[in-house]
Amino acid sequence: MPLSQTVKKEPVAVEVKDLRKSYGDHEVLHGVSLSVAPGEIFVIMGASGTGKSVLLKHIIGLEKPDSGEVLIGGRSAFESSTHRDIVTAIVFQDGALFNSMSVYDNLALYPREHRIYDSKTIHEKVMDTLRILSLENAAQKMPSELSGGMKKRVAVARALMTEPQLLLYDEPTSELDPIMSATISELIATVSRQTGLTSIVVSHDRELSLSIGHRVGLMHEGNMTFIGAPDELKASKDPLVTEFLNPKINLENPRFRKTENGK
Amino acid sequence: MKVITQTLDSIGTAVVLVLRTLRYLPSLPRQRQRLGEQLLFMGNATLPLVLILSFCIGAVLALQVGFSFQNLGVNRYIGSVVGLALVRELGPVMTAIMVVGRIGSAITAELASMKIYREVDALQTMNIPPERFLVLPRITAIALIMPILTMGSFVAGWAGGAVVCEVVPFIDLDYRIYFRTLTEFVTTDALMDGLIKAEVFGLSVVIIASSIGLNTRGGPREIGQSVTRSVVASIIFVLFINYFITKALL
Repeated sequence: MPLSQTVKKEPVAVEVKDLRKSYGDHEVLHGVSLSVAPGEIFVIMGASGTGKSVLLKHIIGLEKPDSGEVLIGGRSAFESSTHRDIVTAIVFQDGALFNSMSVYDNLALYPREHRIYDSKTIHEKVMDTLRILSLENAAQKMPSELSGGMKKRVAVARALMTEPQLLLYDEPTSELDPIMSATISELIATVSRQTGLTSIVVSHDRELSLSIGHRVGLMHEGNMTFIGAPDELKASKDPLVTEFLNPKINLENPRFRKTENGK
Repeated sequence: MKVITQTLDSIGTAVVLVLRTLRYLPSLPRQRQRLGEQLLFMGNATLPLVLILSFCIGAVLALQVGFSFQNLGVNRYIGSVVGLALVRELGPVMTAIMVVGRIGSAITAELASMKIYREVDALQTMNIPPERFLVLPRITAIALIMPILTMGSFVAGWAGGAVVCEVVPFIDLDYRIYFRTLTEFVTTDALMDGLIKAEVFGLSVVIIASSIGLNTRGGPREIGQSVTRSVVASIIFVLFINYFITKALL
């Protein structure tokens, strides 16, 4: 089965308008705005703690903002009916696989629960998806028996089983070795190219962002400070961009000392 | 004041969870596999313990009653005292305590772990309501298994009392007389009262355990804290509500 058969519906556009979110006194998102075209791979980069994952949670509907809007295909992401009518899926940072179920059951859960196919078709689709991601031998394994890279691929496979129109990835290459990071990056690009679905990838992996992203957004302290093509990002003279892309290791005046001294 | 607010908040959260879960009752036939798994887990985890504990309690109760009755010449009524005490109070309460320890704690630990490791989030993003997928099979399973556990507790407790009456010299009561007075006093109404109590206790324990588990925030340490909170809250709730159910059923 080609990957194109894992997505049946049209990809959707995503629009984020002036999104604000605070936890207690700490404002995490300071009015983030962006738009993602149907079928685009949009990569959100930024240092840890800048609000990238919080933004992703708003898009998938797991969090509600203090103000602002997220529209998926022109409909509010905060209405559960939107996620029923438009199939959205997320690959969590740690996979969030169901630990009490085998890999096979993890993949079969969505179509079984929503009664999308009969059991024979579900079996065929699960095995085909596992085969595409070179996971056919892991079908009966439990998540605890998988390596980090395999967990990520199973998480992608599970998301593909939902036949999504919009697929979000939260730090898909974190904690992986460079080869496995490259494999996951290739996987994201291939899935996007062959299925045409809209992808939003949160990552601070420079290689991934610059090689597979159609556009890249850079977040800094809850703001989207840059949005543009990877080449524009590389050419940018903005100190925030250059510092993020090419951080210099300065042993004479280390950054953590500056943070400690509040400078 | 903060404790009262937190308690009311917890009760409100649990009530909302129950109402949301009941909405998915029509989908129960689709959850039969998970229901079967839960029934098996709950039965396996609790029945042997309930039987052993109840047998011992019945035996000790018969010993105590026999010792008190020995000079009064009313030994033949040991069966009625043991039987009624087990049916009306000890059976349901001890079964509930076992359910708290074996089932409630396991439910909280599992659901809290699923929450912390984002499996619950994953369910939500797949449009699979956690109430339907996780809570409904557990609540239904405890509703079905609680009468079996409680009846097991009654029978084991009565048997424990009978053995003591037979073998302890200063009691020396034939088991047939023990069971005759027991059946005279333990009416169908008394049995039903005990089973109703146990059903309320069992449902309460699973609802509290599920609610605390699904509302866990933080990391692995909080999973442990949630389990402790669930066990303590369940035991207090069972003992507290026991008085009011008893009063209502008398």
